[in-house]
Amino acid sequence: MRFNPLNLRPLRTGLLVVAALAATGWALDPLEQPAWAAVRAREPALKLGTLQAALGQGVTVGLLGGFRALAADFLWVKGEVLWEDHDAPATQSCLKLVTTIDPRPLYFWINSSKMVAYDMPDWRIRAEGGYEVVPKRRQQAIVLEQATVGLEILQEALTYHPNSWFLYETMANIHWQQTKDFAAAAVLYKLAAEQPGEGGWAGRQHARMLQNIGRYQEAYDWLLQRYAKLPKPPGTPGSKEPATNQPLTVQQTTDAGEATEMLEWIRKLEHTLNLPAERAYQP
Amino acid sequence: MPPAPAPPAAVPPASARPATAAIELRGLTKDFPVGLRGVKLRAVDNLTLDVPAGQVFGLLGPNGSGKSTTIKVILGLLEPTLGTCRVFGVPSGQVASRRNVGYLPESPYFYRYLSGEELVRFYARVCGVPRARLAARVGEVIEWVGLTGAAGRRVGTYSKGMLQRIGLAQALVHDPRLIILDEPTAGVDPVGSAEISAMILRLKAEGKTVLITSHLLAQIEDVCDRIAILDRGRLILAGTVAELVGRRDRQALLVETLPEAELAELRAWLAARGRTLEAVEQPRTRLDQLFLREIARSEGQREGRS
Amino acid sequence: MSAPDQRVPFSYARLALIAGNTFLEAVRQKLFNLMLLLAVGLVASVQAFRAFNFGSSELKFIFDYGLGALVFFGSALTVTATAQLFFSEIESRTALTLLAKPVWRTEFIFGKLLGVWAVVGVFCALVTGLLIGLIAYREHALMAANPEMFTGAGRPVPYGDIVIVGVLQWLKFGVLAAATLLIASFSNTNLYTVIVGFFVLVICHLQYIAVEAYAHLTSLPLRVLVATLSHVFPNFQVFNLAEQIGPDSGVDGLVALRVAAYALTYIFVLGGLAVYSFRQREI
Repeated sequence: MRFNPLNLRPLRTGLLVVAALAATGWALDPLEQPAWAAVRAREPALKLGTLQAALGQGVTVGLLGGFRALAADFLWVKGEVLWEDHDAPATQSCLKLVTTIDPRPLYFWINSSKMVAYDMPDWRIRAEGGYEVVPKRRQQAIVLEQATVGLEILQEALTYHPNSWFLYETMANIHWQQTKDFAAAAVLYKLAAEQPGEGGWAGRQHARMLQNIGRYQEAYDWLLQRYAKLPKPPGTPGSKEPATNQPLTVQQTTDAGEATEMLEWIRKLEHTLNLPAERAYQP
Repeated sequence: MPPAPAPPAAVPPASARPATAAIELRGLTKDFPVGLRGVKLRAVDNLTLDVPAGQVFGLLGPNGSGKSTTIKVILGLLEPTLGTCRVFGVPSGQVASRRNVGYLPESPYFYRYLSGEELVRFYARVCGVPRARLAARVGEVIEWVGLTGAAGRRVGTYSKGMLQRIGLAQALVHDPRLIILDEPTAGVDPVGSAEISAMILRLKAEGKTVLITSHLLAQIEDVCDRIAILDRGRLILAGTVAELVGRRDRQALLVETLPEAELAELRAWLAARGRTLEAVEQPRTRLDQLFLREIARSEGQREGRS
Repeated sequence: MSAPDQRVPFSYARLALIAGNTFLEAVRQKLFNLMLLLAVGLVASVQAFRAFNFGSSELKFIFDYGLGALVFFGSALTVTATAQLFFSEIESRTALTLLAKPVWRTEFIFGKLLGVWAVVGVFCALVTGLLIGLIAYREHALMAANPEMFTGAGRPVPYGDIVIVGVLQWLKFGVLAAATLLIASFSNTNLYTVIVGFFVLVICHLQYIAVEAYAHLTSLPLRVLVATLSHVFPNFQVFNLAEQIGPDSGVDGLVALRVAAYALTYIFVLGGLAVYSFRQREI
């Protein structure tokens, strides 16, 4: 066989192309890194560890940039269809895949946990014969099992959205409505109330849960703190401005209603705690 | 074919230019690698050839003889393995070598979605025809190839003959000094083929150099000044048509048909001078000429009736 | 024998002419219209999923879905159109006629690239415009129907970010087109180019995994090898800088500019390598 330099040309070209691209890649690191860091911070799904759990389930396709959102959305719709068919295992695994592919949207987490914790116990009880047939203890066990799975979903969601009041509130709701663990609900409502953006409902729920388990003093102290922070339009107790003849705005009317309602609640707790009149709260 | 205005010359007439050969090939060799095992296919083998400026040059050879490869090297589309190729003195690897070259490829395919006029305009702009002269120049070459009536139609609707003509228009639009025609009559009917031959002769009359490959040897014989024959990449014969085709030691005399007795007398007269009458034949009109004459007569009658 | 001075300088006018012709060819082909129709159809069909009642997350869902359509069909259009427009010139021998003129191969390759990029630009502009229109329409409807969702923690849609998303994807498609053209410059068939082009698309989205892997390798030679290979491919994940809309998703302008510079450099380098490879191609 004779040496033919013509045959070396493609190899030489290929090597040159690879070398030039590698050099370009290194040279562009300063441009790439800040952008990559920003994307990385915002998209926790890109972590290798997270991927390993879901590899082989179509997650690779889901990682292709915008494909991820599309793949997750399609799977979500598929999950909704499975949910309508009351197919609990299939729904659950489909929802798991959705949140693995795209953990960014909160609604995937919230709705997944609600389906698992609220809807699936009902399907399972009906599948086992219905509420009349299945013994109460069995029903409770099913509810507890599903609630635990729902709570695990939300716990995982917290690693991606650590400051979400919505996640804490949803967890608290499950404890309140499903597991009836009011102490745990109280803790989580408090955590929800402490996150930015929460509207006030979680704070009141915290007090309500404390009341449910007989921790009236703690509920009372909590409400005093909350009341002090409430906006108080002119004329409401604790307001620095006296009442005027000018009508209140819609927002002021709502705020005044909330303040009045909370003050009445405080008075009821003072009564429950048998506080003497001189120790009663003075706004 | 409509009367053709001569394409305005962008270059001085041939007589004013230095006597540079339009194309010079020196020891041109082109190998193609086949596979990765060192096997090579030699398409052109040590070809040395000059195409003089101002002549029509025919490049002949069977399929696979290296004609198209040679043309591609001349156009800078292929790089020679060995040897050199210059076009008006410029190495063919340089873009500048194509400045004065117009090329009509074999079975030309053009952008089908463009009209004939758009196509010629596109190539004119690619070749740097000044905007001020663009419309006039495009109109001129389209008229020159006789396609004025169809210039607004999409190229995709053109017949084979029309495609060759629009191909010729795009090859001529920048007024090149050298025109390369690769099988310009392939698939074209005899009428179209004759028209193309006429165009080639007009280009020659305008001082252009034309390099043509064709399987129609009669056509080559009619229009070419010089020819070269290639076989398996090698030059096997080159020279003027007259030199190669004519027989200097023989003559043909054309007379009215002679009775047998007079023919015998002629033989005796020749024998007395030591000559022999080698052949007595009935002269024949060439079939293509007969075809063209009959078509022309039929069209003339049709026009007369209408 | 001396050559007359008749140099042919590189011409932007010729490059623009070839780009314009490529654009014209592309928009007159069925492929562009088909992709555009499918993308528009997919974006518009998002209305059909309203039956699943996403509530306040609907706008996010529409955005994700529209972005997915843009990325999916945009990628498909870029790879297939680049390959097809290149090979249509080679196979129909129009390249023969064009390159037999005083045309630089650089003008031919960059003309093709710019033509394809312009086509993809029109595609991105149309789909992004449709997406913005759809989101604005739904936002208006939702605000009218549920004003409470848009107070407090409610999120107005950052339309500027959606435009940035469209532009970033267009930049990514430019890099993809240049990479596909590089493949086409040495490839023999359209099909091979399309297949390898899609492989490159996937690799460019996943190359960060290799980067992550080499950071953990202990063997030095192996580290150098993996690091070099991972730098051969551009990181397409950086173009997902604004893949999320919402209150926390504002795009850092400086980082976006760096990504643009990253893309443009890659387009130039890949285009240059395609020219280098194409100059050796025998037509």
